[in-house]
Amino acid sequence: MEMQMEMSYVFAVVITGLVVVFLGLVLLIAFISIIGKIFTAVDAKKKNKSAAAPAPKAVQAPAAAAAPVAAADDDEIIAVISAAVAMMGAADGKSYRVKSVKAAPGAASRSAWAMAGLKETTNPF
Amino acid sequence: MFEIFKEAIVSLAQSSGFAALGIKEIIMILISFVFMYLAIAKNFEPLLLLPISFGMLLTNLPLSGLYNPDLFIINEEGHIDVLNVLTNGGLLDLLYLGVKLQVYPPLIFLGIGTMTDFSPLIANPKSFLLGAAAQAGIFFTFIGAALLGMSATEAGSIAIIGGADGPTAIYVSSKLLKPTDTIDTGTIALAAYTYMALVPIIQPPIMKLLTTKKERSVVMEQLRTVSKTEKIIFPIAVTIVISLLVPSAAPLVGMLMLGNLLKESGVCNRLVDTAQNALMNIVTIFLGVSVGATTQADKILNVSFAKVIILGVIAFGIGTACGVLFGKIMYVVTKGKVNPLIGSAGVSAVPMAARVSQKVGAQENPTNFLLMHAMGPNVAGVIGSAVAAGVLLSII
Repeated sequence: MEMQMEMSYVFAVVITGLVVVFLGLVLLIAFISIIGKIFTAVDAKKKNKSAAAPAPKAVQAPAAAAAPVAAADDDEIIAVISAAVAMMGAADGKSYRVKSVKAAPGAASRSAWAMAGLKETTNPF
Repeated sequence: MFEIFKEAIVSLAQSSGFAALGIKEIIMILISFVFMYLAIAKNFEPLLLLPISFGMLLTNLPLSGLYNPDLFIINEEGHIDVLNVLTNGGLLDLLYLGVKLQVYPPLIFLGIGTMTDFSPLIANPKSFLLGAAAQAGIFFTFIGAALLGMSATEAGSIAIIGGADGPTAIYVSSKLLKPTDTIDTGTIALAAYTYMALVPIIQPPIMKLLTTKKERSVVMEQLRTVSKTEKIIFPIAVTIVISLLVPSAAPLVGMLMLGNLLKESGVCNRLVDTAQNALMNIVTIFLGVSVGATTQADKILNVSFAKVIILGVIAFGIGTACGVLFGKIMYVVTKGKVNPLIGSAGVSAVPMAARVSQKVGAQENPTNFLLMHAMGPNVAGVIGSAVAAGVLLSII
């Protein structure tokens, strides 16, 4: 083993280390923030341009198309839930009727697929 | 004739490994079994721990001559005699050159770069602060090691375990440690990878102890989407800033960012594929088995090894605590917009530490989605520990 270090040297290493690490990362924060601001500004400009130029028709069409898709989605979900309930009923010899399907409060922010993805990513422990 | 036969058998037995097998070697072989068990049965970072533990087994089988530490003694000119290693070295000596000459860790970083998505960090650059705060574990452990009477090179090598980054720990310790030191790179790597596997056990109690229920329940705003151009500029900018500030961190940060640029550019898919699969796997095998080979009985069965184990876990703990405490500061400054739990992900250990933040957050509020927010400090931690490594290398 080498000779023991002097405490002044130890603290010099610690302080230099912390200062340099923070300084480096703060520099990066400044740099990345500036680039981020420039790009959001550029994007906003582009959006303004494209929104002003084409006819409003293009905006309307997808909105109209979106509504029935959402409704179909709901119908599909209800069909799937009813089928699952019917299967459960068939298994124990009873029959059930699905009266209503409501989204649970709080869970509405994320879809079932997102929840499944989340479960998978945090699964290992 | 019988006499000759008997003599031959006796001399064979005397020259065999069995005769040379001492109690120390037997203990080391048993320890290697423990690590193999942890890797295979408990899934503790198996991709590295299994080659490391097998290297440990090989090197402690006497007379095999696979690894000869004497070849790596630094000569009067201040470097190892590479020609001597090439002519007289065993298989693991040749592979160990890649560790000793600091070739493998940057190559691993190249692969990690191709697999890392920096967009959470670009979207929220303040995460860099958490990545920096969690590096405090490295420097506070340095004080602890100094108090235990270790040399500067030993203290630096142990402290870097707190960076929770295997390649960085190997990079620093192989560069710093001298043959006269009582610990070696293998010891550091074993401790680093074991503790990285234990992140889900070490971190949550510290995180819960330091935060209130209210803080843990904070739901953070969704991150903005990051444009492709920003993702391309990021690796170039980081390389320039960090390499100019801490030149000795350039090999690690440079290769990490090269890998990331290859990925984000979208025009080098063949290179990305090689870097993250074939190249990374080859280097991982070479790195693991040769680092494992440095764990010879004399270097492990001493008091210093116990110190490495104890200081290593302290380094992890302090890193986690500093990250969370800094997260609390950001919670106050942003008036409750930052969940302090993402601070603990600043220790690197990608992506395990970010998953832990997600998990602990979800225990308070199952619909809270912290994973992407925690990935910011998590990848910032990788850059932060590479910078810390550069600082240690240039000062010590």
